[in-house]
Amino acid sequence: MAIQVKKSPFYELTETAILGTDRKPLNRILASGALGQTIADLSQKEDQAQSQSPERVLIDQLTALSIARKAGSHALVLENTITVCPEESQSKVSERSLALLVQILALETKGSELRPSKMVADWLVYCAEANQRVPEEFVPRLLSLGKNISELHPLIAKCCGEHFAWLISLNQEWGISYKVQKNDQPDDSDRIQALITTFETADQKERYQALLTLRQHAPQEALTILSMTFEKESFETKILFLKALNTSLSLSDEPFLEDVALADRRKEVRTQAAAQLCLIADSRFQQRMIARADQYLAYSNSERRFAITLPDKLDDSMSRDGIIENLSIDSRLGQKATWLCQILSLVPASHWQKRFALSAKEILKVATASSEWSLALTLALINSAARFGEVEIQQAILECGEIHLTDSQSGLLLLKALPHTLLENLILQKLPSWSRPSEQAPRLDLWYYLEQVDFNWSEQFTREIMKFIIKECREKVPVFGHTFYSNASNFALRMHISAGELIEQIAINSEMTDIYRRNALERMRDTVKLRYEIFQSFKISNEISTSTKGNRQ
Amino acid sequence: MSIAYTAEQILELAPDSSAGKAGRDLATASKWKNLGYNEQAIWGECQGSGASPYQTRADLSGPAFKCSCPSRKFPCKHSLALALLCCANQALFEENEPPSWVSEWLTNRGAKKRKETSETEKSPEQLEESLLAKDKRKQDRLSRVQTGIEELELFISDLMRQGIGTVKKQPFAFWKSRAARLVDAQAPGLARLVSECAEIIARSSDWEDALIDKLATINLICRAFLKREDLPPELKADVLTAVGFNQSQDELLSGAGKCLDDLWLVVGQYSYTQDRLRVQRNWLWGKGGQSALILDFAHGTAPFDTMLIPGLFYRGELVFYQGSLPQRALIKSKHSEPAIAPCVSGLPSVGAALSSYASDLAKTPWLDTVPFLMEEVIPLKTSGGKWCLVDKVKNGLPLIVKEETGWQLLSYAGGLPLSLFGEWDGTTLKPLAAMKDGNYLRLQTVEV
Repeated sequence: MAIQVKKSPFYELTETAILGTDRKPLNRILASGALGQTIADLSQKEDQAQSQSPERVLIDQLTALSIARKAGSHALVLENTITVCPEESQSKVSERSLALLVQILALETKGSELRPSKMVADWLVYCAEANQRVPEEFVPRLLSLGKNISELHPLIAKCCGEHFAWLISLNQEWGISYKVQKNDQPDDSDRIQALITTFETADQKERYQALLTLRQHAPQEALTILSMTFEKESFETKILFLKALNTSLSLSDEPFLEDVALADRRKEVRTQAAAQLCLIADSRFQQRMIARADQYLAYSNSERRFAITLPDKLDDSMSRDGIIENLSIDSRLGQKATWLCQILSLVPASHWQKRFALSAKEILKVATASSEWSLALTLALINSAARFGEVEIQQAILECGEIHLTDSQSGLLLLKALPHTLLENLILQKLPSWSRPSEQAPRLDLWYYLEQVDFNWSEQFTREIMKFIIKECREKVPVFGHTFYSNASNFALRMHISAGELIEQIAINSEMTDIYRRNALERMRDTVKLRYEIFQSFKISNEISTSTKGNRQ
Repeated sequence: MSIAYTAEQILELAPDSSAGKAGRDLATASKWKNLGYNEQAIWGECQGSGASPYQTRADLSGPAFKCSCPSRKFPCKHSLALALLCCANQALFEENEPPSWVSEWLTNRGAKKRKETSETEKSPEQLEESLLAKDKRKQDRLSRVQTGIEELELFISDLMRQGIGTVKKQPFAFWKSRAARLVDAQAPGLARLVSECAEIIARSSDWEDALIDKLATINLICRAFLKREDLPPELKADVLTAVGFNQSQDELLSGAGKCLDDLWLVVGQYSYTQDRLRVQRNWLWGKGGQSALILDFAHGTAPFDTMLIPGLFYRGELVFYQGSLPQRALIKSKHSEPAIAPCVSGLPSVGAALSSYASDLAKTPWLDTVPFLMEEVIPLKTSGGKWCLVDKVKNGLPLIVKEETGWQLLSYAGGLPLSLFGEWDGTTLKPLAAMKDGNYLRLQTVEV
């Protein structure tokens, strides 16, 4: 039976092919045009030659249609247009610099232990300093890499030229990730309004970034919008947002912190508020805490010792001021001693210096000698030194031979809070003694110190550490422990770039029996070399461009 | 001495990224001694972990490498380092008489080339005997293929009767066993197409149309094979190639194939693994407008024989396989021409590209893919999230591209027209490279 198909011939035949001729017998197709004629001719074969089965005819017809469809494919008619990226004004980076970027990005994809984002940051810093840009074909890769690393955003924006703004306007995901970056420099009310809108509407991460940026440029507006929504936030968000107030913290923040944050029902929020309030000079909180501490700590001039009175109980006012009932500071401290330690931690050491007319060194000496409460007092002083950043007491703690900062959480906190120059000086002072043969050497805290504090090493410090490593490798003194092994690459990333000038002097050879040490040193060397190569590549390209300019002139 | 390659082009030859990195690390003068060169090669000795230094040599015109190290990678890190060192600081190399281990290698290479091109000398009787044996083998194979194809036609007819809707539930082995029978019947080309049916069903959401297209292609090849004696010689050669008959490379090189001397740009290159065999597809585009496909195969981690660097021009002779649409070719001779910016003329519009494809399809209806070198096209992402290219008159072609490659391409173009090279399979274009202002950008392909 011949049928005039309503559907397209291809649809009809496809349907038959899918269902099978057993379930949907093959109809004779009548369609117009050359293709219709061909298909009709193929249909007739079934009638003419009995040997030609319907299945054979069907597959032949499908074949004809398939070829016709391919040969007759039409172009898409696209009305979409794309804006043109503005012309770039910066010059591209050199081929060498680019090859190094490719190498770093390959490290990332291999899941290497190196932290490629830090290497990329290094590369971008030099690129930005040279006022050069990444070739446009690499911009998407960098945008994807830096999407969730907000520290890289300004560098990426600077090194990607006009393509940065152009691409993020085309890619919604990048647009969201880099949106805060666009609003990073609010110079007018519109931008401030945009940040406020972001804070009111976006997700938590973006809200935090917006609040942080707003706090840097308009502290009062930041405080106002935070106080408007604070009560509705979860306690984790409250803590996060309170941390944003650390920038430009002043007496004007006191009412909010004292009346709202310190009155929160969650102790974690109150502790955070207390940590910030105690930093505001002359705040009610600070005065209250000093008055409280004065009740418990007195100094006997004649005996040259502290007289301690432990708090009897944790009253409501103490609890409101962020003192936690059951806090574990040190297993050797009892509950009341822990309360005392918390209270004293919130008072600057300079208060005791003034009150007892003692130097920081003397206070520390008396505290460490003060019988059964010496631990609580020492930990409180260390906490206070970390919190208030008072150099005199910090210096005294560092110089005190009896205190090992790596023994307690408080000590580690202080290490992290120390000004980096002070930490470098502390390490440099101890370096010669660590270098001595192991019998007389003090405990080797060097690598542990450096592991704990993530900072960019100064040139002098880097050189001294490099010399130390070179010497130790040469003399085969076993100063490289597991902390060094697991942090060798990280150390290399923190070193000053001048380390590259000394790195080849580290004697690594196949005779080195300690495979862990050798591997660690090799990782350190490779990382330093790579960083140095990046530096050199930009330096050379800068020199070339300067000399070219000079020649032109 | 002038080295023909940039460091990046040398690193393109690295078998993997770790070899590239190791090569870069070794490319410092302090690690090398006795560095030398002559008009043919460069060489040097690198101290490795062994007692004696590794002897490394490279013929950069090829390029070709040889090293005495035990590495299975090719080129090894020492070979890469030597070339990189030469690229970075040629002054380190002294013009010299090559040491024996270099001259022997160069002599052997020359001898091997001559052996490859010279005809094995046989007496007329031996020649006649071997021709008869060859003819008999071919007839035997044709008969086995014929049987295999008849079985395959029956299989397709059964599919049509039961309906292809039923095959979605079939296991992978349903197609694999059928493909295996075709391998037994010495029709590997058809076996590959049958295997691809399984992949279509597994990966595609609207697999029905794709499967019908594939079955149509298989059917067409089968029908053409059965009527091969009625076909013109070129089309007959095409059918036999599609079924899986190889054309003898020796015969092609000795004059059976069409030879073309031109300046060839390596316009696209990618590799994939098929049944544990690595396949590399190199697309060359001549200054005269002819395209050529150089296929290379390697097992496991073995290196590919053909070392072609994408974006570089080579002057040389190609010999094309016989067929109505000469596409696949062999390299008869080549010399790199690095100083020329990668720029060749291609198709002016989407309409012209589709017309060209239609006329190619008329010549070889089972054509798998064709190369498109599109000029003046702009890549973009539509509001529906599809990647496309669009020409001056707003005609577009869909692109099959990884998301990151799409953005890379878009960024490279910057909203302005560029030249784009890719493989068109009748429905989508797989971009392999983009070119603008004399620069070449290699693009990552989607995994198939």
